[in-house]
Amino acid sequence: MIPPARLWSAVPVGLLSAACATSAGMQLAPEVGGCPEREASSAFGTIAWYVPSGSGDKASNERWCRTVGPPVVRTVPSVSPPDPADGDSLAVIGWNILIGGGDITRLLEEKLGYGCHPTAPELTAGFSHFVLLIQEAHRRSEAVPDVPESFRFPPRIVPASHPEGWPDIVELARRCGLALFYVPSQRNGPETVAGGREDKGNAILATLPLSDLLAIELPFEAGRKVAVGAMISLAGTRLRVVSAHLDVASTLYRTLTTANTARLRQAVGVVEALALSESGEITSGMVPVGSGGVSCGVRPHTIATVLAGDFNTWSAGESTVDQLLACFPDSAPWDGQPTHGSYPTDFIFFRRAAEGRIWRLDRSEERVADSYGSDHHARIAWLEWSE
Amino acid sequence: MRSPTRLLAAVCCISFLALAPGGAVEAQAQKTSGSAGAAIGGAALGVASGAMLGVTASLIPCTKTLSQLTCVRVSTLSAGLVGLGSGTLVGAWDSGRLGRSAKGAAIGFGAGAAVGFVLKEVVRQYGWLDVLSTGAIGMAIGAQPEGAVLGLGAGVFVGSILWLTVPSYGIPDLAAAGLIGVAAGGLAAWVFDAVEANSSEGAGVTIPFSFRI
Repeated sequence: MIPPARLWSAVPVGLLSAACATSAGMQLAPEVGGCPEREASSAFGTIAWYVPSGSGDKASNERWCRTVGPPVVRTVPSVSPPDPADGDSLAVIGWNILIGGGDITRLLEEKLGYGCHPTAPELTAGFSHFVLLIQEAHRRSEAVPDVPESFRFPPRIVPASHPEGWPDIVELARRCGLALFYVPSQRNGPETVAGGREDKGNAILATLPLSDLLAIELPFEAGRKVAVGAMISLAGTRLRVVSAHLDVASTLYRTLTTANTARLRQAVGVVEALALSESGEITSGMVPVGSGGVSCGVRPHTIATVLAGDFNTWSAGESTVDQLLACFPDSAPWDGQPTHGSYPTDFIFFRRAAEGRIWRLDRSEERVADSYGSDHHARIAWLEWSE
Repeated sequence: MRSPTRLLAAVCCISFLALAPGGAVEAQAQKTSGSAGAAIGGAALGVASGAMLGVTASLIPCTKTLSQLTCVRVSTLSAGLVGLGSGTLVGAWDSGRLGRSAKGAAIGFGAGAAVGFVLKEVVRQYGWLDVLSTGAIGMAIGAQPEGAVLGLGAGVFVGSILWLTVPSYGIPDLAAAGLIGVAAGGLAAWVFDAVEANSSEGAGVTIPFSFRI
């Protein structure tokens, strides 16, 4: 029988010795196998997978990964908009579309003058190329595996309203003639709907070709999250674009034993994977979580990067935002506008490359006033470049 | 100006502040002698309760610093030390008082674990460790329920005023104020208990501005 005094004493000891649980070490996935999603993606041959190096994170991500379908890659848009030229601007839109509830088609038409069409979009004056960095995209497909319901799936999310036909992200990209990179993070419920099952995750849609695809499985907190990245080329200058979605919160036990660092840890995971990708290193663990230190990888950065996402932050003064601002120092200051109810959850972060041929325009960034059917407002930033 | 809904919520919070402590301040008991064994038990219960209160109170405020981990650790350690010292003294001087705290802690653990069990059935990602966690929080509060409840009322009261008057003060800040109140009240009650345990007049918690209903 353990004396009660020892049991009580275990509480503070457990709390104070929890530091090891907050590591966000990342590594390039040493092999593609293990998870059907990653195995399927090897067919594309171009996706670099980054995964957390912690065994607990790996095991949880692996289990969730088995329930989703393969990524979708269409690196070349079917539309042929004009080539980017000096002085043009690139619109970068970050948006959580609530499982297709957000009307992307209408937003593109009203904000960018882009009329969706598979081959010949209607362009209006002032058109600029654009990249959509999407969170909570959904895909409906028979390729999503049928797995036992003993796995406790997250419940299916069905938006209260949605655009006509409720197209999934694949159909939407086809209709609009856009390049697409979609990586599911988790199932959208266990149900089979219209002969197919649904998964959901982050996506990149663009009027420009995508290359150097990147999938970053975040440190596991409450559910599997995979950030997606790709490179686009603007008049010979490369720009990396990344879409990420962090957890709202972890379990109570993890919250107590990791000092509530769930979002910070996942943000650090993204930062570290991007740093590894840029430096070409294989393993790291260089960025401390919650210790006050900030490391953003090897400087100066050689690739200009935009990171947009739903970071699920409760305030703009949160450590997650501070961490990302420190690593993306050319970001616009927060405009004071919430994007999800009264919460400032969505941001666009930016950093220039050492050569600095791409920069953020002063008018960035803007919160889109209309939510277009989503429970989040989109944000738009404009980038400009020159030779 | 805040909406009527917020004003109504604030009135409820203020009412809670006035009413909640009433039933919680009547703990009257005879002073009993302490012992070395009770001092050890008091130290263990005090440090567990204090540390849990410290970590719970710091979880939200510490997200506003990059030194988040250090911030929570310092809070946990400080509160744990307060609980350790107070619990030791309470056990050394008044084992009966410590017994009541231990009983409250056990009841709090059970109540917290019951809440955790319900959460486990409802929240997909919750498991048995989360049931234990809610039990541990219940234990920390149950060891000093009067102080925790009064602190909660005070924290929510102050938070509500700030919520009504400061535009940038949001719901998470209000929740943080409540949790800080719980922790501050619980720790103050531990210190108060230690002081009372050493008094020659016996126990009896007297909290001004409170009444029974």
